[in-house]
Amino acid sequence: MRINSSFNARNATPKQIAESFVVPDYFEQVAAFHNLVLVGPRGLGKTTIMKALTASGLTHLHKRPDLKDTLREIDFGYVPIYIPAESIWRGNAQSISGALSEEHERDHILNGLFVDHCLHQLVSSFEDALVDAEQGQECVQHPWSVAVTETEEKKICSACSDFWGLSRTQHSFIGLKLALLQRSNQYRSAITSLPDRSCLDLVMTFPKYDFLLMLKGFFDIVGSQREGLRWSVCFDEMEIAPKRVLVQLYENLRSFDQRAVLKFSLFPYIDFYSLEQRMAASERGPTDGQDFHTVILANKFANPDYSLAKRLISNECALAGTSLGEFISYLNSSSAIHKGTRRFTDKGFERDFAAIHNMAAQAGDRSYTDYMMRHGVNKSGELQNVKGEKKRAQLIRKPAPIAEVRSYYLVKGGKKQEIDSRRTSAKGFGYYHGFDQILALTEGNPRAIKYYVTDLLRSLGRREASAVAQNRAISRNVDRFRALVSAHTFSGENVTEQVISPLQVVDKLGDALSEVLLGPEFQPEPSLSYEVKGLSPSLSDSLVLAINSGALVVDQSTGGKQLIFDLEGCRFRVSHRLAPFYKLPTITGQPRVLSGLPSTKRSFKDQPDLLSWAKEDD
Amino acid sequence: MIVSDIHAISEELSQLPQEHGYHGEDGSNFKVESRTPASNPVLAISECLKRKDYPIDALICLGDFAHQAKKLVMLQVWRDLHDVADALSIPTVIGITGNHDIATRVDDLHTAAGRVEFLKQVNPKFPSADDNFSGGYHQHGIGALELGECLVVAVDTCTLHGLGKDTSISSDIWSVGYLTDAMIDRIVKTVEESACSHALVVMHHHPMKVDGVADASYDEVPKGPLLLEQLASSTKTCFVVHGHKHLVKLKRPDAHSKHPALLSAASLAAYPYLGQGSHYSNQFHILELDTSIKERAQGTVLSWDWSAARWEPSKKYSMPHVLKFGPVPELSKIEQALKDLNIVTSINRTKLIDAIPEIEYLTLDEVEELNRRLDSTGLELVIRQSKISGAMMQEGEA
Repeated sequence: MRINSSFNARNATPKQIAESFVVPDYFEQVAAFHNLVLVGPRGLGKTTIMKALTASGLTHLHKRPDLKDTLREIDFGYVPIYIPAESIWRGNAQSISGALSEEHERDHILNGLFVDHCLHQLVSSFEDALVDAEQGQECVQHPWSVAVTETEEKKICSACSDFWGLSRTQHSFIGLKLALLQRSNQYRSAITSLPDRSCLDLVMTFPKYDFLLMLKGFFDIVGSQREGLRWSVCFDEMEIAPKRVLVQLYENLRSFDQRAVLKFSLFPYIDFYSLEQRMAASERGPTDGQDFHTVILANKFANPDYSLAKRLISNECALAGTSLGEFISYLNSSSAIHKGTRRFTDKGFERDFAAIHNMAAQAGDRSYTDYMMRHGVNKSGELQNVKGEKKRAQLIRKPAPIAEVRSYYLVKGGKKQEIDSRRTSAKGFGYYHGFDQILALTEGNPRAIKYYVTDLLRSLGRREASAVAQNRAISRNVDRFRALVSAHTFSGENVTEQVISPLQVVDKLGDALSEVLLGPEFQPEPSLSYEVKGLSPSLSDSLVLAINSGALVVDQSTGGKQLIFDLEGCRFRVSHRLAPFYKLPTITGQPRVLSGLPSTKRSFKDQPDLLSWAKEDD
Repeated sequence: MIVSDIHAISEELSQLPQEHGYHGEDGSNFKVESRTPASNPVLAISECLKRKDYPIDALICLGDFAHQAKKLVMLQVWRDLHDVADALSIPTVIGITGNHDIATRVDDLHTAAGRVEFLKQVNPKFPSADDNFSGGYHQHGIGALELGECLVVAVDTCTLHGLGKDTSISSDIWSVGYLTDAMIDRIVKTVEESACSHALVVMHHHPMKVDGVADASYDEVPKGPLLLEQLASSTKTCFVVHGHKHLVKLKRPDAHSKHPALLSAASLAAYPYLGQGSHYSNQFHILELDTSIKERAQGTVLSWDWSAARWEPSKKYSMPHVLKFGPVPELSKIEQALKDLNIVTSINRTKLIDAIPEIEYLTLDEVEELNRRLDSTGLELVIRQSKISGAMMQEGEA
């Protein structure tokens, strides 16, 4: 069995991506010629889709016969420009801030590095779209390709050298790129050669350029040789770009340039403005639907669509030499799923309410059985006699999923103990086993899918017991995600303040819900989400980070705004990716008001460490 | 395939109290107990090349298998090299003695007796499974075997190590390699009498200074230049490879050189010596000799660089991944040919080499020199990752 274990598109070439690209439903919307904001936390496939939309990505996509019909419908009549963020920006910003006390010097160098990096990527992307005009009819002309002669290249590069302030006039695209690299190195040397200021003094004499103006100038210069070109400029991984850059990009969504569209990704919560700026931007900034379109890639609050996820899994299975059907059967065959409680169909699983009722009774969930008895159900067999939509909701549809999750985590108290049942240790995650449950644990996030599927396909290949494999995959992947959430930290200027970390907030929120859900008093409709009302300001920053890390999933379907400017009134739930950690069900539920940190019986001190929580007893 | 100066150490031995005198930590961070390719640069070689289609005639290790002559460590590395050869279907493995492979600080009769005997008894056989080769090597310090059109001559430059009446004299002996006139005569005679048109002479110590600047010591084999002169005047095409210095450099013979082509192989895993900079790196090489060319040594040295946990094609200036040697390019001719191309914007490597094939044989120092000469015209040869990637035109400097 061959497992493809590449988890990040950053290092993949557009050709590699295009060859295995699974076209999502929103592809046409992302590919269309309009300003676009892709919304979602990491791992959702933003880089994948943006690289598929580069000139060479498009060329290779068009070589795939299976995509012929899909692609024919889309207008690719623009030159795709792809500008990835540089992963060292954050480190750069910190070291430059540490080395230079003068703000104008800091800004000048950071801006210089940013502009030259983007211009370099601009030239590379343009080269990617070029075809040799002198080859005439021999080469294939796509709607996104541009034919340029040597003379035209010389004119374009000479004009760019002049406009971008390069020290020597270049006649070729490669010359432009080298000259930009050389200038970037001069900016870097200005820092590395300190305390000798000679390099710094030199770069301070360079003019300060605005990247978007330089970009427009490039369109003008190329336009003087080739009329009527349209441009699509994709900025990738801008989450790590300086906030100033994000502000500039966001504000330019309103009226950048008629010849071009801007596309970039943002976390759901707009955190690059101050509170006042956020309010102003929310009122007067670019308008969703009018100035730009948003595509929410995954992490839907409710009614998730897993069709792309299923196609991704199907592809992985095929690559590993097995079938989706075999993989699904393997997961659904887990011996840890309570016998008879689920019926697996092509559309997913259905709960067997009578079997769940019996399991709850076996677990000693007296509070549940009392609730059912109060409503006239004494035995599981009587459930089939419940008639009427309202009654069925009250006695079956709502309480059964709650009774189900409780039955996995409660055990009988025993004769000597005076209690009917108690919470038990998390020795396994049977409740989360099975194909559809695992799918829910991924939230449809392609990288999470990749992690789970890679682990589980390996286990399938080794013919490992399904329950053992799923228990291991779940605890490993929950750990991975918790590590990712904990890596979402405050920016440099805030760390000295006494703050509560995003992971601590999420843990508190998850535990608070779980304590009620699995508490002694059965509640048929326990709170499984939160609604923000009059939030304590001390909590706000941590909550924003938790939302942007994907640990909290906001209901973006209400209020009409796809980007979040204000937490007040927001409804959110804890991501299912963390559900096994708190023993929460993979369903949504009633909101409970959140103004301050809820109190829980557990305290942070009782928290097991990151790597041993799955073995801890309550 | 050439590997050299591995200097493997033992983690177990490193834990011995200081008075045992084992300083593995000074040698390298390659612990022979590490058995995964990510932590064992010998095993990583087969990982690196397993999907490549390089038919390799022989794996030659130029000595210093283990730091401080530790026998078990040396034995493990020797076996691992055979495993690499098996994995890559390399039919012949040859080893030669380095100053770290035999006891060079002899204090008693017992150590003196076991000094070389150990190497004669190891399994797989050292320096080679070929009995004639090994017999000649152990008896005269010269072993030879034919690989197609190329005769491999292994020279033991450590024959006198461990001798000396006191520590100071002993040190004078073991700190340099040694060749006798008789050994040189035997090498030349073996080369001349062979039916092969080419000869590859391999030895641990360096027959001449590796570099005028980077190699600051005067510890070359005293009769090394004599050997090189005699090989240069041989009727056969000769190429000499050595290790020991941990400095990597290829010396091409210039048009009137008295010396054959000479490769100073990089160390596979050793730490640099104090002050070593530009010519130090951890590499292994594949040497391709074009035996169809007889008037000069011509071919390619391919090199891989150790990059934390795996081998990667080298981007080092001093020894890039592909280094061709053979014809000695004339800079002024290439300069004129470049001008005659009338480049308007740029041309890529393929087109450039099609137009001026000699460019492939330029060293990076020569490229720099050419670019200096061409600066006023605006023409520039573009180097990317220590490889010529094309040529471009810009505004000429006034």
